[in-house]
Amino acid sequence: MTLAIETVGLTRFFDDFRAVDEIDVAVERGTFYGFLGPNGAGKSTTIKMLTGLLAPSRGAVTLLGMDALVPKQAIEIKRRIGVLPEDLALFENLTAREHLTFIGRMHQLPRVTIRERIEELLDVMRLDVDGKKLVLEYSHGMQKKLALAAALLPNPELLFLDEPFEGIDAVTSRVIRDLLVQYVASGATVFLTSHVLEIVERLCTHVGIIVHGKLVEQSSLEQLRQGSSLEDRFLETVGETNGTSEQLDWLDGRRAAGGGEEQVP
Amino acid sequence: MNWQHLKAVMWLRWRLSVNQFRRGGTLNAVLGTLWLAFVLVSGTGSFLTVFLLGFFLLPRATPDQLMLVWDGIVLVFLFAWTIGLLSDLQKGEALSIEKLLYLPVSPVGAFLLNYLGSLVSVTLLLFASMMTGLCMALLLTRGIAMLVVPLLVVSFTIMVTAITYQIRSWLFSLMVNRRRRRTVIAIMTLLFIVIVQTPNIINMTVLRTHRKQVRETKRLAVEKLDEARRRGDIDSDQYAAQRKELAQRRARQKRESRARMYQAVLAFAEPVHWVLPIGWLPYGVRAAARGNPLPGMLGTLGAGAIGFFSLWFAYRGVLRLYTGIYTSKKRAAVKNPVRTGRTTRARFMERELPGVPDQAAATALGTLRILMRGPEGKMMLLTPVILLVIFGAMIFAGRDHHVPEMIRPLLGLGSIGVVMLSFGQLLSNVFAIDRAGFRSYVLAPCPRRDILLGKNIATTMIGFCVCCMALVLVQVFAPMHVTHVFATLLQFLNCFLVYCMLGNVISLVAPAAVSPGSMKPKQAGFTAIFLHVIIAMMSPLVLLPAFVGWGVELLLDSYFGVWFPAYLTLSTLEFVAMLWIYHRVLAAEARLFDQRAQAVLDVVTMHVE
Repeated sequence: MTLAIETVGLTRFFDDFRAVDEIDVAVERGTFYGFLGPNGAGKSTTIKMLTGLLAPSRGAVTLLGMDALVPKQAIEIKRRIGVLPEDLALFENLTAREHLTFIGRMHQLPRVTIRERIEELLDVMRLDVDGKKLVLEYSHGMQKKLALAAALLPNPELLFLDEPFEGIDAVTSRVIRDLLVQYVASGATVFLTSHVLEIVERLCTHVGIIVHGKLVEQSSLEQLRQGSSLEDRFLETVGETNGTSEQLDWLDGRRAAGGGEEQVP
Repeated sequence: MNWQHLKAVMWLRWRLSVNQFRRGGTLNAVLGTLWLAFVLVSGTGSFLTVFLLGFFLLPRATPDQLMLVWDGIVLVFLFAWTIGLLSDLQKGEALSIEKLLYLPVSPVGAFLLNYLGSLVSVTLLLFASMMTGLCMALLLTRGIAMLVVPLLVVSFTIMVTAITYQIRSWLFSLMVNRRRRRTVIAIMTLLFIVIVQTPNIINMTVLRTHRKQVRETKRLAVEKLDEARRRGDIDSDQYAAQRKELAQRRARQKRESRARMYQAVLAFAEPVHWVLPIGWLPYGVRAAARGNPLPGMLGTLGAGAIGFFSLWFAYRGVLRLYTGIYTSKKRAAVKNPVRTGRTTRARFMERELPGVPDQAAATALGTLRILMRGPEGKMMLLTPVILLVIFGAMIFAGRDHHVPEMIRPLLGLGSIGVVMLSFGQLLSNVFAIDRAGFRSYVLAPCPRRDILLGKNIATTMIGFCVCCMALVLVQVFAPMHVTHVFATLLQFLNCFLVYCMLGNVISLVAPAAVSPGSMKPKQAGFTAIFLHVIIAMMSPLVLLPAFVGWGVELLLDSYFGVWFPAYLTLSTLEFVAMLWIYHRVLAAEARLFDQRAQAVLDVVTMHVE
């Protein structure tokens, strides 16, 4: 099977801080890859480097068999991928339709195709009923849904999703999950980061775990779990607990009226 | 609410200001520290200075003069206070009462904390020092009758701060909607510019006309004398004597005119001080200086009452925000939106631009939409209109409108200069208005050349419309020859092409995030600010090639008596050459875009709202 994503020694520094440290990611085509890690581990930095939103300090990135660091090939890659970045990529003063039309035209899709796809995407995402609302008036969840619609519009072969379910209502979340499963079944590849391990466990076929910028685990979900739950394996791999109950022993919910920290007998 | 809460809020306001300076980099932090030192020194200094001035200079002042001194202080204070209000509206963070409502304080406590926190400002510190100094000087020099003045000052301060707080609360409630928020900021800024420029326009249109008439009368009298001497009607001694007499008469007229003006101002000021609450402080001072404390006491009560009611209404606004109950008018129930099944198309975004690549056209149309919707774009469209009114008033006020035909193209070029000046900030920071949307460009599978081309087309289209409006204005007052009109339009395109080439480079090399409602760079580094200032200062230079064609035509007409449309011909040739240069330069700039895209992304997507 050919690889959809391949990185070799991918590294990124922010001044002296090594946010991503020589990671070698390999994602086969047609897989649903979950990229996990605690806060600040380097997930978003990695996804930004893979999608061309951030230049790597070192290393190589190959997407769909092309070198992502060569400008001409990078444009061809961008034609074939869809991206839902962490901070979204939306024009605040456009309506949802206008934004999606813009994206469609940048991908050189025919006008009729753009129109049809927009209607269907807006319907599925439950967005833009009156068509007059500007992006800046949307809630964060609505903006995320619009950004996801924009990523799906060109029907990409490879989809990068940075925390796609964060802030999205349960109904749409279910629709998106079904849609993504169907999408991967058709042969496409999804690279997803999420903090919600249940979602990763339910959707992903392969998992990579990044801790302090290093890729510490990369395998199929079944291999990683080894009979236990993903959460247990994840915590085991990350190897950290953030504080213990003894450290916050004052947090017992008993507080005298009057606001002071009084002794409770 | 208790003392600890108040201290915490004061500290919060202080910390927010310090952090804002820190975020701006080392230079900004140094400047901030110097500014703070200046404020502390000038706070004490202004108290002492005003006290000494009041003590030594004002004892001899008449009550009317005292009133005018206080009028000056009040007006400057209101001016500075309005600037503070605008600045707070743009920042937004320091005064959000919602953040205080999370704390263990009652709504009234949160409200008072927020109001008292809003009083921590440099303007109030400086003016409170000045007014206290003047009050003390008046008390010491004029005695117990002036005891009412400090009370007036306190009630005046409460009134102004309460009214502005009420306005601010109202504007903040409007600005809960982010779309409206930016428009409110833009309108407020625009209103401020108009208010500040109104005295300037009155001065240029009315007072300058009056001064010009006086000068004209003098010139005619001198000409008459010169003529009489030339004809031999008067000898040199008589001439000198009559000139001297003329000068004396003029000085007398000047004195009389000033006295009349002073009396007219006082006559005008009397009812104005009665009607406008901001006039009660100066009026009360004048009455107290005349030995009558009653107007001052009434003014104190009146201003205090206005302050109290303003705070009360502002508090009601907070309650509405807190409870969600708006009693002023019933709102129509929001119906559940239902899909009609009718397809709404984004027709504007689907348009094609003849001869322009599709992706460049999409970029141009997207940018146009963003500019026309965003308050930045509206501001940018209105700025040249305001500038044209001001400059137009300067040029045409008090003069006959006859401008020689060959000079008129300069007015057209001047209009281009005004448009360039207004568009400068956008052209040299062209990605700032995209904010998070800039990621779409980075992710787009499209040649970078097309993105730059689309951006330049959008700004040129808007600029061209504004320039056409300006030329219509010029044509009304000083009609140009038809060839000059076309030449001016071509020169506009030439200038814009040059500015676009320069602007693209600056936008990529020194991008800066901008706050909504303006194109003012926020949290920009020293290099970025420096480059933007340099480019703005050098922007008139892009007009230089335009003078070549005009100069040649002027030369042919004046020295050889030959009329040939050299201005139009050379402008056309320049345009062709400029298009060719632009085409070549754009390719190089596209490579620069590739290299700099991520750096630009880091800057323009910064959260500065």
